[in-house]
Amino acid sequence: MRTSRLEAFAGLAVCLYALGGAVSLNAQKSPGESPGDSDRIVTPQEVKKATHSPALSLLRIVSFPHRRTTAAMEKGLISSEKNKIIERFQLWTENLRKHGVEYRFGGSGEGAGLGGGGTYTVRTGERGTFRLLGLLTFKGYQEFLTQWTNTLPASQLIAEGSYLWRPQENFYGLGHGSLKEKHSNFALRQSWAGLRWEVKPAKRFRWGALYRLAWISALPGRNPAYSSPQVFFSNLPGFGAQTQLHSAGTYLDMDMLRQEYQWGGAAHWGASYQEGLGDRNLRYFGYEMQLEGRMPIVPTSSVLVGQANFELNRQRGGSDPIPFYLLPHIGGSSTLRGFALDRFYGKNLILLSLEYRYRIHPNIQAIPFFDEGQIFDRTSDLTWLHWHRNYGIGFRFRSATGTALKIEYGRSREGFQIHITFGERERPPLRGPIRYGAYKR
Amino acid sequence: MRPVKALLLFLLGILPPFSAAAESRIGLRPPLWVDRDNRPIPQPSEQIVSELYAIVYNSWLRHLSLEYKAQCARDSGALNVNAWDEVPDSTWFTNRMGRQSLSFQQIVSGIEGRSPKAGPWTIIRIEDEGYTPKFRVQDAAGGTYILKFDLPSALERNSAAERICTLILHAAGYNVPHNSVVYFPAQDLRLNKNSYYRDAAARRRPMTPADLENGLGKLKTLPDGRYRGLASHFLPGKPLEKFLYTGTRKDDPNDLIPHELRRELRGLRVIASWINHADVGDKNTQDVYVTASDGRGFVKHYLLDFGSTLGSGDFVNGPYRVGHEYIFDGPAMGRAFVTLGIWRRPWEVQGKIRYPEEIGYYQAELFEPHKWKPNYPNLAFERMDDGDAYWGAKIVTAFSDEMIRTLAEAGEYSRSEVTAYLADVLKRRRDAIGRYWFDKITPLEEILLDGGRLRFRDLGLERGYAEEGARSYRYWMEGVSKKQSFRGQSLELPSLPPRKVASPDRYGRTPLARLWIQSNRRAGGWALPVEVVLGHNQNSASLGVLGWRHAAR
Repeated sequence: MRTSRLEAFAGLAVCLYALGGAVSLNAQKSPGESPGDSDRIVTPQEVKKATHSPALSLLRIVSFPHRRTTAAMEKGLISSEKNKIIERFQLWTENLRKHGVEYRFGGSGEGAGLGGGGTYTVRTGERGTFRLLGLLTFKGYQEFLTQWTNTLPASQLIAEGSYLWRPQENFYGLGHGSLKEKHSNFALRQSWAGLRWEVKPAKRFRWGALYRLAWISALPGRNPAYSSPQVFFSNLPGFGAQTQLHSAGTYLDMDMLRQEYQWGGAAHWGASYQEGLGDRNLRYFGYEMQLEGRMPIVPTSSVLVGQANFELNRQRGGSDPIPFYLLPHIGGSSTLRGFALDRFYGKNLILLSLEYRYRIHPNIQAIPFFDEGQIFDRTSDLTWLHWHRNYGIGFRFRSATGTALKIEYGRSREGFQIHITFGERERPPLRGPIRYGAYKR
Repeated sequence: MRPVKALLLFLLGILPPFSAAAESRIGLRPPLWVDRDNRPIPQPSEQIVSELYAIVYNSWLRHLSLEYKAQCARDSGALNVNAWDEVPDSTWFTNRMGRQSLSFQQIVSGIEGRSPKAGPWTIIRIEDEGYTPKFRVQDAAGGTYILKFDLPSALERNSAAERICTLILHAAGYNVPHNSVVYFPAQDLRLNKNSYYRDAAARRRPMTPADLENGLGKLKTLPDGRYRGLASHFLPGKPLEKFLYTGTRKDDPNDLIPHELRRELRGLRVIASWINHADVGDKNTQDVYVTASDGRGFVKHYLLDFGSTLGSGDFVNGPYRVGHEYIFDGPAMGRAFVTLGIWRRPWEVQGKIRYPEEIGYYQAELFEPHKWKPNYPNLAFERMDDGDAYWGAKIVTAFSDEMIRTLAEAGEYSRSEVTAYLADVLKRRRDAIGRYWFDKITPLEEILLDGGRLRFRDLGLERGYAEEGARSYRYWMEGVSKKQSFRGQSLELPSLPPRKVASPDRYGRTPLARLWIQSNRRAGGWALPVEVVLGHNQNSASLGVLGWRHAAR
């Protein structure tokens, strides 16, 4: 029989350990006694015999990396605590906040990589605030936003403008049957400016209307590991040229969610109309609806959450095709978690999700989930048996201010995906036609 | 797990009893009541600890170390235990309540330091961290104190808890600072030119009257306009920062015994469970270099900061967790995970706060002595064995009803029903501890041989945790497998089996025989035995009891 090195080592360790016990046994039969130690409850020799043995020495050698690593960690934390690094950081943050500056860690949405940035907020008069946001990531993503908000009684008037550069966006083709092998990547440059008016007629209702002007273009992606979409998909609508459009929309939000583990529901309806500018003959309506319902299973510790998401686009007669990057897409941590980010693009989508959120610790939730989604061109294409499905489990770590970290493992017929998300982004007021990084689930 | 690894861990687990049994064959610890660990040494350096590291390491990282697992498996009991299964006096611990009955006055007067003289007090510095500020003040007699305050939303809570538990832990035998509840008007606090302000980042600047006003503004006054606080007298000697509950201090030659093998630290778990001292960790300790007239000194070890005891903690994850679960409790999280959240922690469902302001979450209904946990694993507590637990329970149950009532009054609660509630919970938790540990471990003490009869005291009976009528015992001798039952607190000693006489040890003792006695348990079966060693003492020809050990393995 062949003995592996591990087995040999284990055998040696056990022998030495047993030997250690025997040595210890013999030693204890005649404890080392020195007259100078007679007023101590134990002698150094006795302590040594109780705490040392050849086997332990061997294990000490084996545990050297662990010991060194933890010792270095301890040293670092002591130094940090001694120098009050956290407290200094908090004071620094507080001082910055007094001046309207807040820093942000994290990326610019899903798949954007690690990064950070900050916001600068300044009051403009009694009711107004002006806010600047800038985010950069190591993957080269850039996001800038300016926002001026004027608060009126029960309503807000918001003027905003944004620039977004997303150099490594996934694209696998259009339609429900797009192939994983055709993984390409493109870069998206998007600028827009707009005006939004929001009214809160009641505590749990919000109605808004907006108007936007947008300039969007899709270019070859910057990730050399994947081809440009042109390689797989010729005549991809909107690729390589800038799209200029203006858009008007309206939305209504109802939020009946109370505490985490209580009955509740939320709904969002939105509709928008987009029209191309210049030589673009683009005209289409976009409709969206999101529904969420919560049913507590065990009071204060678990809840079943069902979500449904619908996005429909209807072109007007004679319109150019909708540029591919303005189409709904699914895949990723906020949609289909067992599929790659933005795995499916299409004109319309239905996304259903069922989660069982339960508390395993006051700050940690476990979330087994099941998602399914379908992309379709016409309602007649919709079939009950043709869904992209996945299941999985996630863990959500919460801080006093919200979700700090989310780790999700999703499994589908295309393999598995692990999503690690820091913080969370609020859901945009109206998705179309602007592209956002991610939204809150 | 690979079979080889499983085998290795299995062997690591089963070998220690073998070596422990071997040690038990000697069975005789030194007959010392004082461990002279106060020999003069050069002044050691300060030892700073990280609480965050302690949480991370003790909660998770230690489990990755095979060396740590082997050390735990080899643990054959606390090392600083004498022949009578007690902890000798040392720079860590002084036998008080466990060995003798003390009056309240004796407890109070035994603590080093004193209460501050009545104001005015000069402010040395103000520390603006935490929920309430801390003042460092000097009284007219030159004594330096730290003034700590209650949360405005919970007047009396922390100050009373700290005062009461200081007295309890001192009476138990630990070194503690002198903490007293004080009342003072704002005008008793004076600034001088050296007063300074220290912010949360430990940055200093001269203190202004506005700083004092801001600090006092965070506090709530009593109806008569005075402030209530807790004055903690500075410890005598040179502060050396913290001690750890594991390992030794490398620059202190007196510090011979790894701290996780010190019984007073292992058994502290039971005492901490009584007062719900969940915040017991390295950060709440203090080493002090005590110097003699020749300038040479030794290190003395203190426990500090009992403001989070008796349900008054600054709660992480809500008040009801404290004492029931670690902040990150693997088994509890695992159980919640596997049962899909359907299993709910009993304390989540049934936890109640009866006196939210004065006491917080301190109850006896859900208290299970053996399941009590601090906020995060304490490596000395993790090594507590039944013998250590019995030792701790012996101290806890030595507090009489009358003493507990007096201690509760020392909290100076303004409402008498709060004092009564606290005294009641203390008694009920004490009794729960006594009932559990004195049932699990044979609680015999003061075992002696008198005219051929072996006599002993049964603490279970004396303290009301066992019934005289239902109490029975059994014993067996070394080398004789037959177990004999008996009733009453004495037994006729049979003739000793022949044995080769060993030479006397360094204390002149010649062990001749061992016997084990067990008491019956309430639910049937027998408690863990007490092992009694018989033999000759120095210069004595007659047979006597040389020592004993509880829960001998």
